[in-house]
Amino acid sequence: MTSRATPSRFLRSVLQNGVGRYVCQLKRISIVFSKNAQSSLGVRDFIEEGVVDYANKNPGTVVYVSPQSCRIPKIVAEYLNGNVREEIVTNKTSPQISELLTKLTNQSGLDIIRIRKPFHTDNPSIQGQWHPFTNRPPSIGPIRAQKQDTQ
Amino acid sequence: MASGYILNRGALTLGIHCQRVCRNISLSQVREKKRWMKVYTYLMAKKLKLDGPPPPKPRSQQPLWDYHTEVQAFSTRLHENFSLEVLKTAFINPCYLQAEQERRQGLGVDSETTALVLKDNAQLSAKGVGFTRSFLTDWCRASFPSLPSEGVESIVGHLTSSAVVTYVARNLGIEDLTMSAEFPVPDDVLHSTFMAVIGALQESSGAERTGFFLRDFLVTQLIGKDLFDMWTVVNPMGLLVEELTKRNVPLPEPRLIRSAGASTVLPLYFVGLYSDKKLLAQGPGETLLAAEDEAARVALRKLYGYTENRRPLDFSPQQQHQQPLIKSVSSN
Amino acid sequence: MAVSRGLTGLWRTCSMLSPRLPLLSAAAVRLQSSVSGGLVPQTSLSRPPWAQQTSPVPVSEEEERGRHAAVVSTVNQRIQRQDFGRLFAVVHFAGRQWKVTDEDLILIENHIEAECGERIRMEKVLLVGAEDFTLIGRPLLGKELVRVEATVLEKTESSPKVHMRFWRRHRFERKKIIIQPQTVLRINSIELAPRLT
Repeated sequence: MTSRATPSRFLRSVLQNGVGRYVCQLKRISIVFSKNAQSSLGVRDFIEEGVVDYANKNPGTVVYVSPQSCRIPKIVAEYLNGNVREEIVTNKTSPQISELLTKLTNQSGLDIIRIRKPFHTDNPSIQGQWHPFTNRPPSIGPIRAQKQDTQ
Repeated sequence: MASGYILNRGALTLGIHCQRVCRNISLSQVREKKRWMKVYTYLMAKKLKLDGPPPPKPRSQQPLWDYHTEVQAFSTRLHENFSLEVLKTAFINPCYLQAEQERRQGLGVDSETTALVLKDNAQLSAKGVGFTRSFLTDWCRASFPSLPSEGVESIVGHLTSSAVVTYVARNLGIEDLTMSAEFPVPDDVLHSTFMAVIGALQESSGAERTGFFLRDFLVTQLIGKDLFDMWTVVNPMGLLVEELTKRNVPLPEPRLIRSAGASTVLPLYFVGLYSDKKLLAQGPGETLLAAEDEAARVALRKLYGYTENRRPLDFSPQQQHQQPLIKSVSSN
Repeated sequence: MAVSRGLTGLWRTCSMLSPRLPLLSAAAVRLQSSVSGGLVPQTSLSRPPWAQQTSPVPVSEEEERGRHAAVVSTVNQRIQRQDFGRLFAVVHFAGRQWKVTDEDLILIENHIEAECGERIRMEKVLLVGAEDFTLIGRPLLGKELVRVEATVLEKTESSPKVHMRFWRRHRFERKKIIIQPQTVLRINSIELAPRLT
C-alpha cells in the first residue's frame, strides 16, 4: 500500500493537554489472564512483582486484574477520549509487560496512524502572512513591472 | 412489516435451533460435522443486519468496574483534592434518581427497604454555573480590557455553551462516571454534571483552585478561536463607527488600496480604512463590500486587542508548582 | 546589458498583450540570449521585475555605531515594558530547526529522556521574533536573553511502515516493518529578558 492510501491525521492533542496542566490520558487498564495457562505465565509473574508498583506510581489510572479462563492474555487500555486499545500479551515476560504498560501510559489514546505534518500551530504567522501585495506601494490596476524602461 | 415477519420467523427458527443445540449438546452429543452451524450463523448475521448493532452499554454496567476507585482516580488524575463524598453527589443526576426510584417501585418490594438515600446534584450544578459565569466574565475582563461587555458576554456564552462543555466533559472521562437515566448521556445532563463537578471542586478546594481548573480545561478551548467566530456582528462598520465616536477619533474613511483581476472570476480588492489620514486597517475581499466589512473587522480586532498576534494567554502553572522550577534554573 | 533589459521589458509586455503567440515570445527569448552572450541565458526571471535599488549613502562608522545603539536601546525598552505581542522562535531540537510559538505542538522522531508531563527548556534558540523586531543569533541567542519552555506530552510510536524488497524471478523477498519511537512536545512559553547588548 502506498503511504498516501493509508489513513492519516494531523498532529493534535486531547483538550489542549499540557497548556495548563498535564493530565495522564490513560484512565483505566484491565489485565485479563488465565490462572493456569502456559501463555499467561509472564502475566502472572508481572502481577506478583510489578502491578502494585505500577498502580502506586500511577494513581490516576485504575488497574483491574481479572483472572479468567482464557488462552490469550491481554491488556485492555481505555483512554480519556474514549478510545480503547487491546494489546495481546501471549508469552510475554514480566519486564516486557512492564515496558508495554509504560508505553500505554505515555500515549494519549489518539489513533496511531500516519501523521501528516510533524508540527501543529494555531498562529501560523506573527509578522503577517505574505501575499502578492506585500511590500508594494498601493496601486490600483494590474500588477506589472514598475517603471524601469526609462533608460 | 416484512422485516417484522422475517424477524418473527427468525426468532421461531432460532428457538428451534436452540432446542436443537441443546439437544445436541446435552443429550445426544453426536460427534459429527455440525451441519446446523452454517444455517445458524447465517441466521444470526441476518438478525444482526435487521436489528442493527446492539445499543451501547454504559461502562458502569460492563464487567470490571469499581465506582469508588474510579472516582478517586478521577480526582487524582486532574491533580485536584476533591472531597469524594461531594464529588460522588455531583455525579448523581435528578433524572437518574427518578428512574432508579421507579425501577425499585416496579420490583414490588415495600418502599422502606428500597428507599434511596442519595442527594442529586441540582444544587451543586446551580452553584457551578454561577461560579463559572462569574469567573469567566472576570477573566475575560482582565485579559481583554478593551473588549465591550457584549463581546465578553459572547465569549463567556461560547465557553459555557453546551457544545464546548460537553466536549470537555467527554474528554475528561466524566461521561463514564455520570449517573443518568439514559445512555448515551444526553448533552444537557452532561452539561449539568460538569457544572456540578465545578461546584463540588469549589466546595472542597475553594474558589482559587476552581479558577485554575476552569482556566486549564475550559479557557484553553479559546486557543485558535477568532473573536468574530464567537461573536456574531452583523454590521461591523456600524460598530466601528460607534467605537470611534466613543473614543473621539475621526470617522473611518474606506478607500480602495489595491485591486487585482477585477474582470476575472477571482477578483481581489483591498480596502483600507483611513481615519485622520492614518491607516487604521486594511482587509481583502472578493467584492468591495466584503473587503470593507473585513477591513472593519480587522480594525475592530485591533481596537479590542484580539488580533492574531496578541500576547498569548497566561496558562502558567500555579505558584506552588513554580517554586521548584525556579530553583532548578538557578542551580544550572 | 541595457539592451537586454529593454528587450526583457519588451518581451514581458508582448507576452502580456498577446499570450496567444508563444512562437514569437520564444523567438524573442532566443534572440535575447544571443545578445547577452553569457553562460546562462537572460530571461524575464533572471532579475526582479522592480528597479534595482541604488546603494544607500555611505555613512561613517561612528554614525553607524550610534544608529546601532539606538536600535538596541529601543528594542531593550520594548522588552523591558513587555510591549510586544506574541513571540515566535526558531529552535534547534532533535537535529531539526523548528519555528515555534506558544501553544504549538511538535513531533520528534525519537524518545527523549524526560518523562511525560515534565517541563524542559530548549536552549538552542536561533531566532526570536515579535511583530516589530526580530533577534537573530550568531548562531545562537544567549541563554539569559531568551527562555523557551516545553512540556513532554506523549511518548508514542509511529504508525508501522512496511519496507518491502522484492527481486522478481530470484526468489528474493524481504519484509521489514519499521516502527519509530516518537515524542510530542508542547511549547509552553517563550520569554524574553531585556539583556540585549
